[in-house]
Amino acid sequence: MARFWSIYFMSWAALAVALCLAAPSLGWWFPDTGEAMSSIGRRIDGLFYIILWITSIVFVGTQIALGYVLWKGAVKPAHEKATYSHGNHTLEVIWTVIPGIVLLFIAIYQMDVWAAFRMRNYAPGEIEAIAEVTARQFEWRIRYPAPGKPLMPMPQPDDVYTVNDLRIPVGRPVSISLRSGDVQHSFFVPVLRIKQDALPGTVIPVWFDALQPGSYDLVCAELCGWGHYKMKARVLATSEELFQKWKQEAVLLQADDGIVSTNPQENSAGDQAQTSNP
Amino acid sequence: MPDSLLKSMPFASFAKTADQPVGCGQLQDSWHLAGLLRPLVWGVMLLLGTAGCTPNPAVEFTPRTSTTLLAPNARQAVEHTLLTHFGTPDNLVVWDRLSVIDFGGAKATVESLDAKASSSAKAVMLVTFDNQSHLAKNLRVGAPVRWVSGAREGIQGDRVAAFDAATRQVSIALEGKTSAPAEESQEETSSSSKPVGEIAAGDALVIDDGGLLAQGRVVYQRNCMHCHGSTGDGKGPTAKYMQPPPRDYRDGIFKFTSTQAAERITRDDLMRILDDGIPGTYMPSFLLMDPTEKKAVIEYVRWLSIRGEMEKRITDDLGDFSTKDLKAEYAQGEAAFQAALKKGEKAEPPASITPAVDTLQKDFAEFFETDYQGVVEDTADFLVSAWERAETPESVITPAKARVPDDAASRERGRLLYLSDKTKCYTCHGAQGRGDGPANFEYWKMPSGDGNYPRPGLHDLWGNLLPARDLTRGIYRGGRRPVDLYRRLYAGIKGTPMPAFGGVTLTDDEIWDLVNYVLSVEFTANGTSLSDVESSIKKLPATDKVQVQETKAEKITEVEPAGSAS
Ligand SMILES: [Cu+2]
Repeated sequence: MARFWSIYFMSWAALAVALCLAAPSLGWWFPDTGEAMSSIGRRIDGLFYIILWITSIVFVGTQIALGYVLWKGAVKPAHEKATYSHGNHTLEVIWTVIPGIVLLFIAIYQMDVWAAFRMRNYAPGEIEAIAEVTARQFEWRIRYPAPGKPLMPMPQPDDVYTVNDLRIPVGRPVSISLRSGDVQHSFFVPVLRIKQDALPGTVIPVWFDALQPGSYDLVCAELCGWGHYKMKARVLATSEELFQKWKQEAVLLQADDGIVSTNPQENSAGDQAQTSNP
Repeated sequence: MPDSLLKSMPFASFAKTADQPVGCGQLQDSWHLAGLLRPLVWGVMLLLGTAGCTPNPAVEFTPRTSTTLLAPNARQAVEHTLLTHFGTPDNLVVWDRLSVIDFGGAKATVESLDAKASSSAKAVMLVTFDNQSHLAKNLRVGAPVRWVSGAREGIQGDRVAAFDAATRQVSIALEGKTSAPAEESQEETSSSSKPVGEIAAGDALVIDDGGLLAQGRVVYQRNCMHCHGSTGDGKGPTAKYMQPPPRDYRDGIFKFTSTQAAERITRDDLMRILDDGIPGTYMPSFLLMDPTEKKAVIEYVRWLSIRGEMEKRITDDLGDFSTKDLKAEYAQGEAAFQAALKKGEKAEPPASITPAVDTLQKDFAEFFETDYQGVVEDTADFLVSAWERAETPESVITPAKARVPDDAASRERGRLLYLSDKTKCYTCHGAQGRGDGPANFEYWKMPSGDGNYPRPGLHDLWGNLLPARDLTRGIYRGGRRPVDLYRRLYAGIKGTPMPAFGGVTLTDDEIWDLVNYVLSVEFTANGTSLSDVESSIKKLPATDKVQVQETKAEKITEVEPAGSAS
């Protein structure tokens, strides 16, 4: 019976490792291809994988040790007494110092990514904001400056508006001014590995980039009310050229006076940009 | 009824009696797993239920108060009419009269029957589609089949068993039964599937009849019902948390349309609202919803709206048979009687209203024989033509002249118009556009003629308090394009005190001047203090300062609270 229990406990650890190994192929991993689509996202993923490797090695090592001890105890004749020992100074120093070194390594190693994200590359507000994103129950309202103009803190007569559709040029860092129209929300683009809370009364600059053109899910990551799940939007990354073209079209559409049809299909500006994605 | 959502089986039947069960067998097979999981799902829901979630509302069409106040037999007649022509949410009825609704489905004709492959349970045939071949590609197995002519006409329950788009070969499972009235079904025993031989070339059929409407129902129940309610009455379970309250479609009236004042809303308008949402309200954007789902749900909302208005119009026409006054009078008498008893005075209880109601019932029974069907027909004719007209180009407001250049002179002309007695804009929107005109503080008469509203202020058609829009906020519910504002001014906002100025009161140029002025209010409102202006300018890069001074666009707007009243 003792042998059964040692095998039983080990099988759970084995199952955990097997499931982890199978997870990417089962679709239980990061969304889409599993690869981050932003430069900082890739570095964050790098940190994640290093920590995953460290914890995996420790997990597998401790589980093997545990299994060995359990099995050894199980195969011992029942009448044989266990030896009692108390304290092993060398051993205790080893298992304190090694994890200490590992933790210190992680603490120092991650600082570079953190600094790149928060300080060194683009300190908050250092890149010109491309749009103001206002989270509200239960949608994302987005305001862009007119072509060739900077984003003003207050609405301007020639601003361009969209809902649930954040357009960005691909391949260069962009920044948004994130705010909330009511309660706390969170701007979360999983594939770009960007998550930032939106706080009422505060304008928060958030920078990120998209390495490839595409449509990336933008969701709210802060339970903000009964319609929280409705806050699904997209970040549409296109080439700089298409982005500017879209903006010009959006300006025309927004100035529509019902006479000169600037575009035969009023909603087609978005689809055009989307279909012309590589 | 989460059960009905779990099945989420879109079907519509051409049922004479709508309670005829139309089998869901085809789809239920694929729900074996769900069947096993169901106890678990129920368990979790029970937990959630006890944790404070309100139980799901029943999926049903509820009658209007005015309908429930009709004499019992009149109410029965109205409800039966609705049930016959519209069905229930779980059993939608395709009513051919409603030519303005795209119910979905592909019309087809039998080209030839493959007698060898057919049996008494399955008919294999070649069909030709009536120029809806694009639909044919999307036909799904299990879709209901309705026979329009031939031997199986009137039989319902047949389903598509297999379909080959390339060869147009359809295999139909003959599961249908006749929907004959009770006395006839005695002759033909209950399982009256007719032999397949009776299907002949030339028989007309509709495959996946009502498919689009049924899909719309599923989308609606998932995304819209919790605010707008299953009936479209704006009384879904989350509605009570909302200010402004969700729209009640049952009057056929929508606020933000592109059409003339008397016209219904167009499909394009509904699509725009789905895509953009309505800023300043709880109506969110559904931009990313699947386009076919959007189309389906728009059709379903139009259908719900027609159903609601049908009920309203018929019930209004039957006003003579309403017990409303009788009941009110009785309640008054009863209150007086109770008050007298309390005081210890001698008093008579009010006379029972039963005899009066009986008279109403007798009158209605007569009316039913002679006129009722006519009322239903007339209402249907009226609604079909109204919704048909809305989709014609003539009903859409197109400015006759291009926008007047948005310059200081135009804005000034607009401002003077705004303050003039010709438009009286200021009486509601306030002299500075802050939505604080005197009309917001006066008592107004109710349209029903029952005296004044209990609270001071403007009200909409649905009886909700409706403060005039604060134009300094820069939130335009019906859209912020110049043409949107032009249409608001031209045709007013339906169901609200905002009047229509187009055609009569104002010329095109005058409307454009007003549009230019209204669009400028956000940026030039008198409330802007000098320090606001300075602080905005300080935040700008040096090169942009001049530009901003030119556009005079410095105003600190507050963040609109989501719940601000409309
Ligand atoms: Cu949110």
